[in-house]
Amino acid sequence: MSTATTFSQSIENNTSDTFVGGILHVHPSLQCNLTCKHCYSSSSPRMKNQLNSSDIITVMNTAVNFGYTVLSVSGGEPFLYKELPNILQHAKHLGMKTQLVSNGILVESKIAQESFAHLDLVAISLDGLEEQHDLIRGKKGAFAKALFGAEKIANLGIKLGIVSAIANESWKSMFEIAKIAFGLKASLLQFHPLEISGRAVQELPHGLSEEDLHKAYIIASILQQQYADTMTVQMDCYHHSVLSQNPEICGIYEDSNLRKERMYKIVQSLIVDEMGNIIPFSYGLDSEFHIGNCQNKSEDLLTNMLENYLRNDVQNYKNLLNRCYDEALHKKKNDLIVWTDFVVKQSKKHARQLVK
Amino acid sequence: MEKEILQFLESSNVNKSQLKKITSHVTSSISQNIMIEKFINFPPGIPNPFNFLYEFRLDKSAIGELEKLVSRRGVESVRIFPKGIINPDYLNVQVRIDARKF
Repeated sequence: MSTATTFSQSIENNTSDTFVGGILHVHPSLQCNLTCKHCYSSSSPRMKNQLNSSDIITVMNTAVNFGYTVLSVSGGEPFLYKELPNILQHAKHLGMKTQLVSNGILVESKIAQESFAHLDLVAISLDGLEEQHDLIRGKKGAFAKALFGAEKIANLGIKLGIVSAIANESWKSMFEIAKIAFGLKASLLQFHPLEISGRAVQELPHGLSEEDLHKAYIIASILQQQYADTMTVQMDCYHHSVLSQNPEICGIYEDSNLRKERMYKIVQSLIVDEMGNIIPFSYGLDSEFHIGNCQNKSEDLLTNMLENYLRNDVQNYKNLLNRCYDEALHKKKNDLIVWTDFVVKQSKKHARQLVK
Repeated sequence: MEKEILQFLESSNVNKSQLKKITSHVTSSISQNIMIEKFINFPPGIPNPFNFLYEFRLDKSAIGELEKLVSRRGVESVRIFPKGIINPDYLNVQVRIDARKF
C-alpha cells in the first residue's frame, strides 16, 4: 500500500454526514500482487502470512465498544485476502462503516465481487500519471488497470476515493490527477507525501524534497478550493499555523474522566498489523507504544487489554503526541509538517533514546 | 490558471524562501476563502529577487477580507481592478509580496 493510515481520517467526511468515532485500520496480510517501490509496509506476492479472520472479528467486536465505528482494510492488497467479504459483512452487522485501499487491479476477482455489497468506500491508488504510476508499481499497464478498477467502483455506486503518493516531480501531475478523480466522480482525492519507510528506504531513498513538498502543498490548496463543491481534496501535510490553531487535528485531547467508548478521541486510529499487533495512531509506530497483540485472544481479554491501556499506558502515547506537537510548532524549522510520518519517526527516536 | 501556476512553480527563479512565503499566503488565503488564480514571478534582472505577485478574484460581498489581507506580513502592496467602474460584481486583486519582510 502506498499511503499510511492517514487515509482513514478522510472517511469521516466521506462515509456519513453524521459519523462520529474512531477508525479501526486492519492489515490482514502483506500479500500483494505488486511490489511497489514506495510501499511503506514492503508488501509483495511473497508475503504469505495472514491474520485469522476470527482474530479480526474479535478485535472488531471489542473495538466497537471503545468507539471505533469505521473498519478500514489495507494490506497488502485487500482483495487477495479470502476472508475479506466475511469481515466486511461482520463490520456492517456491527453497524460500522467500511472502506479499503486497493491498487484496483483485482476488482473483478471473486473476493472483490463478494465484498462490494459490504463496502461504503473504496480508495484506489494512483501514484502519478501512467508513466510514473507504472514505474513505481513495477508493472506496465498498472495505471490502465487501476483506472478500470476505479471506474468499476464508481459504476457500482460505491463511494470512490483516489489516493496519490507524492514523490519528487509528481506535483506536476496533480492537476491532471484531480481531473481524473473528478471525471470518475470520486468523493475524495487524497495526496500523501512519500514516506521513506519500508521498501522506499532502498528504492526511493531521496524521498520528497522540501521544495517539491511546498509545490505539492500549494497545488493541493488550490485544488481544495477548485473542487470544494464536488470532492474533498486532502493533503496529508499541515502548515504549522493550521496546527497551532487546531491541536485536535493532532489528537491533542484532554479529558480527565475519559470513558472507554471515547478512547478514539485520544487514539483516533487503532491499527492491527499483519502480526496481530494492536498499535495506536499509525502503522510503523515504534513497538514501545504498541498496545498488545490480538492473536488467539478472547473478547474479554482484549477488552481488559484496552482498558488497562487507557488506565496505565495511554499517557506514554499522549506524551509522545504532545512532545511532537511542541516540537513541530516551536522548532519551526519546517513550516510544513507531515504529521503521521513525523510522529512515527519521533517514536523511533524516543525508543532509541530509552535504550541508550 | 493551472498552466500559469505550473509555469510559475517550474520557474528556476522560484527559490525555497519564496516557496515558504507563498505557502504561508496560500494557507492564510484558504482561511479567508480566497482562491489564488495566478502567481507572477518577477523576471530575471529585477533588483529584488524576493518579490512576487499573486492574483485572485474577490466577490464584492467579501470586500471586508481586504483589511486582513493588507495586514499580512510581507505584503508590500495590494492593487485592485477594475479601476473606474462603480460597484463591480467582483474585484481582481493583485498582491505584491516582499519575502524579506516576513
